[in-house]
This record gives sequence, C-alpha cells and structure tokens, in this order.
Amino acid sequence: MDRYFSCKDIYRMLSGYIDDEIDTMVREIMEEHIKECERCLSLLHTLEKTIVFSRETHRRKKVPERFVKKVYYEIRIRYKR
Amino acid sequence: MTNTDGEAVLVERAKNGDMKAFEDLIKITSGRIYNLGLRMLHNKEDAADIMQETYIAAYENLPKFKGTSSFSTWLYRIATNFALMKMRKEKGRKVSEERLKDISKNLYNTAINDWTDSPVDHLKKQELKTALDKAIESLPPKYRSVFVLHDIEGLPIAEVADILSISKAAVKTRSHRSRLYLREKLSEYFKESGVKNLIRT
Ligand SMILES: [Zn+2]
Repeated sequence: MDRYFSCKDIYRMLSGYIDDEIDTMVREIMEEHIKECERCLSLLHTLEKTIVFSRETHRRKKVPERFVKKVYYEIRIRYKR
Repeated sequence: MTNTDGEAVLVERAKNGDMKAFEDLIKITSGRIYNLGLRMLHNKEDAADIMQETYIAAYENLPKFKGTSSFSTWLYRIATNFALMKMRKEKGRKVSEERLKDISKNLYNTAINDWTDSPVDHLKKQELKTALDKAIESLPPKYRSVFVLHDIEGLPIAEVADILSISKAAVKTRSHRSRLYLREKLSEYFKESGVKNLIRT
C-alpha cells in the first residue's frame, strides 16, 4: 500500500476522520500527513470547531408548556371517543 | 434513548386505544421533537407546528408502526418530513449544489486560516449564532436535514440514513459538504469580525 496521501486526499477524508469512520491503518497515514502539514491541520481544527460551535449554539431548549397542551388538545378533539 | 422499554409498553397501550398512554409518549418525546423543529427551522412557531403535525400523524399511523425501528426514530422520521416540507417553501436563497460540490475541489487554492484560538465571549457568541444560523438556513433542505440530524442532534450516520431513507454514503457526502460550507462561512465571519486574524503561511 502506498503510504502517502496528498492534501486533496486528506480533504476528502476529513469528515470520515472526525466521525471515526476510517480504518486504523489509513488513519495512521492521515495522521502522518496532518502532523507535517499546517494547512490540513488548520482545516481539521476549523472543521471540528464548526461542529462544536453548531452544537453549542443550538443547545436543547425547554418546550413551552402551551405548545404541548395544544397538541394534547388537538388530538383529544380529533380522536376522543 | 434511555427509555426504550418504557416507550414500547406505552406504544402497545396507545395502540389499544389508551389516550393517556399516547399523552405520556408525547410527554417523553416532545422535547426532542420540538428541538428538532427548532434546529431545522430556527423558529418557535414552525417548531410548534411541526410538533403538532408529527403527533397527529403518529397517532393516525400508530397501527402501522411495527417497531422495526424505535418509536423515537419513527417520530424523527415523521417530524423530519414535515420539516423538509416547510424548508422547501422557504423564500430565502439557497446555495447551489454545484457550489457545495466545488468547495472541496477548490480547497487546494483557498487560504486556510486557523481561527480556532479566536476568543468568543458571551456577546460574540450570540453574533456567531446569528451568522451560523444564516449559513445553515442557506443550505438546501437535503443538506440541512443531514447536518442537523448528524451534527446537531448527534445521531449516528446509520440512523440518519434510516430517518431520511437514503444510503449511508449519501449521508456522508452531504454531511461533509455541509460542514465544509459552514466552515467556510465561519472563516468569513472571523475574518470580517477581525476577532484575531491569525496570519499563517
Ligand atoms: Zn496537507
């Protein structure tokens, strides 16, 4: 196996890397590249941070009670026998 | 899902016409369904609409629920379909699929700044959310739904594929393109807001 990846190869695989969907052996070759390549490292960091920010800014909010009550009500008037 | 057994019991009872059991199911799952709508549409009223449509559809289709997937996955599928319908009616401009495909191809010729060390205080965080939401909203529905389910809801690729009835490979591709696009938008944001422009060569 060719133990070398170009930057373009890395770009394609970064999400798989983040999702842990890459085989250990391929992962190791990726890591060798990233360690030496500042661009790919920055790309990995910013891509990971994009996901972290997306989660942090969309934390779960409490459902307003009135919305749940409305659902109960709508179902009761439709289906109550 | 911590409550699958309890859910299964309630589903059985609800199938036999126990209205109270169905209301308990709503109580247990409404937080997730409401937030899914909120995360897809960024709007409380839309999220409430989606929640209501989801539970009415679930109630009507309950006899058809076979339990091959969990009840909450089944609800997610219904809710996601209603969310997709709403997204498709949105008027705002969407980024083209061509452009999303090109991002990864053009990365090689793009400057990449590492802004991850930029400080984001409380005030900046709100601004960041606004910028991010705008970018998420400009994703076409089939990309936005994958991004929300996988990266915000945190569902595994296989479950997202199941909810959307698409292949795992399609989930991976759409997820990757969405992430790269949002990363690019955040890079623009950090550059413009000049939080701290790290000069890297
Ligand atoms: Zn590289």
